[in-house]
Amino acid sequence: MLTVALPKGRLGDKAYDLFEKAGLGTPDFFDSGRKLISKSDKAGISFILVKPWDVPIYVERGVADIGVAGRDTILESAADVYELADLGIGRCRMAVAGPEGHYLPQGQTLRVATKYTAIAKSYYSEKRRPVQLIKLNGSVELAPLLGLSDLIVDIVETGGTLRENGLCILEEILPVSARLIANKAGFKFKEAQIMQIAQMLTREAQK
Amino acid sequence: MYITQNQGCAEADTVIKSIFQSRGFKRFYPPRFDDYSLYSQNSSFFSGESIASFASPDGRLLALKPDITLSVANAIPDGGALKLYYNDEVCRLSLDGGEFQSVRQIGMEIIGGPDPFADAELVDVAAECLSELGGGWALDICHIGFVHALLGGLNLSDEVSRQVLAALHTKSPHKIPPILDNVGLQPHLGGLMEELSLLSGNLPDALPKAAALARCEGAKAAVRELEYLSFALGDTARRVNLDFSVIGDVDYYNGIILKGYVAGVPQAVLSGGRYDRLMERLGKTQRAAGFAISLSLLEERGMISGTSAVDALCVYEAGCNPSSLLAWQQAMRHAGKSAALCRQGEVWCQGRELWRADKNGITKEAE
Repeated sequence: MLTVALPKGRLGDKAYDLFEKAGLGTPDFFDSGRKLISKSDKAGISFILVKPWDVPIYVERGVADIGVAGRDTILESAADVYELADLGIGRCRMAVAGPEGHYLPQGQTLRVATKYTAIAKSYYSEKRRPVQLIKLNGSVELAPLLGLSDLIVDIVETGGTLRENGLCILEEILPVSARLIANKAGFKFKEAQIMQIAQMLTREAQK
Repeated sequence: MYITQNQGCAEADTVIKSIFQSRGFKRFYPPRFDDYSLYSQNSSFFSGESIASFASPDGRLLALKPDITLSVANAIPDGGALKLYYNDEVCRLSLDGGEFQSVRQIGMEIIGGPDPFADAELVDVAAECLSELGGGWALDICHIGFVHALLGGLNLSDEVSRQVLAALHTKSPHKIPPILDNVGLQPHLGGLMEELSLLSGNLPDALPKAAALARCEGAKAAVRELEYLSFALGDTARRVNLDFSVIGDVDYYNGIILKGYVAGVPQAVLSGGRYDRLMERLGKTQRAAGFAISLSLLEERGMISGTSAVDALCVYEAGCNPSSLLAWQQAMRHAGKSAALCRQGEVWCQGRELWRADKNGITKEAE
């Protein structure tokens, strides 16, 4: 039985859709909104639904053999996992955003609000720009509007939310999309099965 | 219910220690503390994480070892050959980076002059240790010289090399084209690095594929070393996998790198390789290779009983004859068995035989 960690929400539904099209669905996945484990003995697969941030952790710790997680959560968690395929779903960008026309004199410490403190720290460290990071858990766009921060680092899809709040993308950090990840140790014992699934999902994603 | 799930599975450290001893390895006792500068000045040789430190009474800054190989390499005398093993602890940050924790490790080092056979012995011992732990196991190796040779001739920046190595480390062939496109190298290297990231198989089967990818003398030399290794291992070579994802983020390996896994443990339990460059950096003339097994990981997964399993366990109730308890224990020990006494309700160990003592006497329970 192969255990797959999927993120709750839109990304998890899209990811499950790929599994189902590849013939790896389970009969009761959508049966109940509260059900967190769904399995098919026939397909030899079991899905667990977890918070998106937690998918890399479940996979790294071996509770799930494989999982689908956004590149942003994989990088932020620094989980030691294999990243076998880019599934091409959930595409967006990690970006620095702020008020239009934002200007901060050189030498002044930037205040940056973000959920992604590890990614932001790494980005500004490479730029050798001193920053004060302010960790927030949601509605990050509010921070520069209310004077909590100068800028934000966050994922951006269409940019609509930013525009509605008078913000714009100032710098793009990296592209983000959903990845198929695998526990490194478990991979050694289930390599053929996992690689077959990786190839099947990649084919479905490319259709 | 008093028998451990791993009945019949001896303590892992005892098993591994006996493997080392039967091959003539000498026990080495690394220093308990080292000068902090040993680790701060060589942070690229281990993962460079936070080091637990404290001030000695004479004002020196000392460190609780985060790495045993560095400590051993520093402590051993220069010159001469040694085959040693250790059973010790390191102090590292927990997986979530929140706290320091003590991690028990048992490992071995082969130290001496240049000797290609040393790698073969290292891998053979690693395979035997994993095999003797019981259950499914896997041992991966690669040669870092192969990858460095392929990348070295391209004059890549450190950052681009780091990105390519990271993609190999995570088996991410899809990451490689954009990295190489950015520096205009994708047409030259084509699918080479992508093939390398997916290359996997036992040594005899995978080495011809690696040889086909060796486009420079450095890579060919690495393949020749691996071919010698495969030949020397004999049948064991079929249980050893060539896999370039074992490239880590530490700088001290310069030749083969090993990672070993056992079924049921979600991380590598064995890690090691050849670290001649570290020896050179520490001013030593010898070459060296070794590996360590994390006993703490095995313990977490119940592969080492948290408390000792004895041959015979007697659980006694209040009111039983106390002199008969000690007599029973003495008789067991004279028979060559380890024997423990536990009060009913306070059983603190496991036993392969279960005895019960009450006011009527001591009886052995049926197995």
